Amino acid sequence: MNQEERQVTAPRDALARVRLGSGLPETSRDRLVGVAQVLERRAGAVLYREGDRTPYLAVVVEGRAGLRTHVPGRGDITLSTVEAGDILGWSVLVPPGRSHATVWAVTDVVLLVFPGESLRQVMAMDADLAAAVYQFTLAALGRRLGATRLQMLDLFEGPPAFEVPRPRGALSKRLADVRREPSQGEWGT
Amino acid sequence: MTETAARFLARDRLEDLVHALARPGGVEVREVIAPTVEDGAIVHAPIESAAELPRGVRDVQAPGVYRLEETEDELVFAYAVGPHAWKRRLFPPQRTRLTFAGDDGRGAFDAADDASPSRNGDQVVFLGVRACELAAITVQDIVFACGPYTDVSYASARGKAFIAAVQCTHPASTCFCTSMGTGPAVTSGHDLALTEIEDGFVVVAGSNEGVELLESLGLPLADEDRRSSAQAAVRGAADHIERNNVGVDGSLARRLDRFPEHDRWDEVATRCLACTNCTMVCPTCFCSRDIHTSVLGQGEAGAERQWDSCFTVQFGEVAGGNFRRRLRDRYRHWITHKFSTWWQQFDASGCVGCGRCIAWCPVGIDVREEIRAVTEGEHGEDPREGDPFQAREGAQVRAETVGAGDTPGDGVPEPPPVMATVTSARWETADTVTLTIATPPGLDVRPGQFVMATLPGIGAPPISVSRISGAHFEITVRSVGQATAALCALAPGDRLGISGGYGRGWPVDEAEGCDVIVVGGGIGLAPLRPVLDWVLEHRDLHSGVYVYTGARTPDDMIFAAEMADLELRKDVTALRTVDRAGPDWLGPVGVVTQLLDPDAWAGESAVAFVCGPERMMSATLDALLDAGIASDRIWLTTERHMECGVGLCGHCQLGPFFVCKDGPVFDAAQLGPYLGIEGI
Repeated sequence: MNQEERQVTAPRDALARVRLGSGLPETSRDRLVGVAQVLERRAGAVLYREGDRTPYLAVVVEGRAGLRTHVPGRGDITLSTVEAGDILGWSVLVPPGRSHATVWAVTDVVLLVFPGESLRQVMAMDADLAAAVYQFTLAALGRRLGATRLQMLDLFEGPPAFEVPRPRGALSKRLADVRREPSQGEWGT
Repeated sequence: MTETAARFLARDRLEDLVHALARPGGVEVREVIAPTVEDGAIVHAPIESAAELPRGVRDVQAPGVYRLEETEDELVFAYAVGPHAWKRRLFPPQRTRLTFAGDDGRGAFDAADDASPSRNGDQVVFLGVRACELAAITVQDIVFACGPYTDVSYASARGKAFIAAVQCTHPASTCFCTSMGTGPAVTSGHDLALTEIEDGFVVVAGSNEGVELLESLGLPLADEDRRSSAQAAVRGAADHIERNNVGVDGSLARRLDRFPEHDRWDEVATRCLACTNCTMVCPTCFCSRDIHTSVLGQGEAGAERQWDSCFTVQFGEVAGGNFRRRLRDRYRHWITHKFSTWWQQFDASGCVGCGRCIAWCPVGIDVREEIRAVTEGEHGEDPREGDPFQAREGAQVRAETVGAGDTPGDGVPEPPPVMATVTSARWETADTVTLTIATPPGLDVRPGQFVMATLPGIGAPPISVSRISGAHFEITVRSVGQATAALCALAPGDRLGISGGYGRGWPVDEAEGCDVIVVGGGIGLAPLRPVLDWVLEHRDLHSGVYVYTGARTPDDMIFAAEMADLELRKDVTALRTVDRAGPDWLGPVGVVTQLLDPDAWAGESAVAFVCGPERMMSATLDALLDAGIASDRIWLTTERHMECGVGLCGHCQLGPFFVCKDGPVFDAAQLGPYLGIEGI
């Protein structure tokens, strides 16, 4: 991430940018800002670890984070990625407060984070604030659930490929020239 | 036409009429096709003499019932329609559509469009055409001969037919022409019209040729009594049909398209056998398929065009999928098209009320009952139109142009494929190839259009054009069936037949001055690529350009290198996502809708182009509409089974549209209502 392009450092600005609590009374918003911090992490950093206690609720302000889970024999599989405006660490709001996936910074990221204990305290004392946080979280989870369902449908799977005939004779040499397997580089990966 | 009065043809002069029909001017030039009795049914066959007409025969028809009974009288037209419709003569069950000759890859296709309704290829007389059948011929005139493409074989046959109609006097219980506004009186489209009375026939001419023929017979004027008898017989037939009270409200039938999820479709599917009888005997059903054939070792191939039926499982099938897998979908499709969406498509009803589908259904399914069951509770005229049958007159006018013998209407002949040469073949993924093809002379193709890529003896799948570049164009083909696998096997120097470009393309001009949003999924990126080419070539004419693409895995991405280059451009926002990532993939993971960023777009003035699996397009459409983009500024492209590509084969029907000629690109206001309806 280009440091010069990063404009958001103050929690209040970050809160406005991600549109969390925009409808809250001033006092409630102040309480939310009071427990918020802006965190910057470099690409590759692990933000949450599957099964560990969730440290904070976070909203991605900039960058991309990936949700991974470990599959024995297949390694770490990236299930989905989240971008600016999405949340991480929602499990901090509900018992037992442990992370469901390992989250790592795919790129440099800027997060607006709300440490669990502090957040739960202000939510307990301010119903408006709690409602705003839950609504924001539910909306984000709803989007993620909808997207996950589409992902489960495997929409791009298509029908199984039909074996391409391999003609004999003169055609076969010409065909061999063009029927080479593409390299990884050509796939842009 | 010279004014003509009703004439009287005495029964003992019927032979003279048949003779005059066959030999106008005294020389035998015309074959007379007329009702005859064969295998217990009244069918159409060539006759030499009036004695071959079904004399003293009555038919008994009811749901699932057809039989003949003999009487002692001399009447020869005292029955309703039999299993044969005149379409057998104008649109034969099988004809050669294409021939291919040549070897060493130098062969060429030729259109075989010289079908004839008669054995000797000359003029022909249809004797005994009923009013509902004249209406049916008019309906097929509109389908086959009023553009944009014309079935030249049909038009040619139609131009050779002299029509000697007969007014109905003995309707069957299955008749409901009065409900459909087509009979029993013959009003137009005929050369002669006969009404059978006790001692002969009252005959009127409907064309100059008919007038000349009557004059050649020297018939006396019909007296008042005979004219009254004739009128009373036809009026009696109409009253009989009405008294049966088993008609159907045509205006209610037009509303069938409003009930895609009615329980009745499931119920009727438990009775329907999908035997296709109804579509075979229907005088207006026009669907066909092309069977590609070859002669081993002879360098010869071709395509036979055969009648097809939307009741077959294969009808909605595309490689790897089926748009109408369930029988309920196929029944709903047939009856809804016939009675409802046909109006939107052709400005006419697809049903003429002949009742054949009722009598010849082996389990006696009665369309009138099905329509009543589905539209039960609906009342009154369809608010979308005034008189639902008003268009009939317009249809007749259009049909009159067919009789002239030349190519009618605005249509152009359905062209044979032109041979073109592959100049390069590039594998995009493990099963998808992009072929670069030298553009053959005369081929005009625009972004979003498709071509029929014909391989002699194998098939002619419709393939979207994925690049248009000067003297070349590209198609990107995924190997999912025999024909596409054969296309994927083509190598530089190989030749294939190309026809097109067909269909409505992307309206790239409408994006000028606007933000352009392109959303593609999987192989759906292929038809969008010409849009990208156009927009990037005219980058200064557009505001923001946003390109969002999705694929199953990084390895399944087509045009991967181009898309990676696009991501590097400063003047384009391009993002790619995958559903399943490997450890090396650092891009977004998830569905393509997650990439969309409405905050970046100029909402109302943006134009979107979308292509991918239907469910992906549906989710994308929701997001675009939520972002405030009007539905008529969101363009989607869709897929259906196609045999011809030009609106003649009927396979790609989607609601009131033919995907091949009304699409494949639609705006969301048009296509949106059909997204998500199973089996539509």
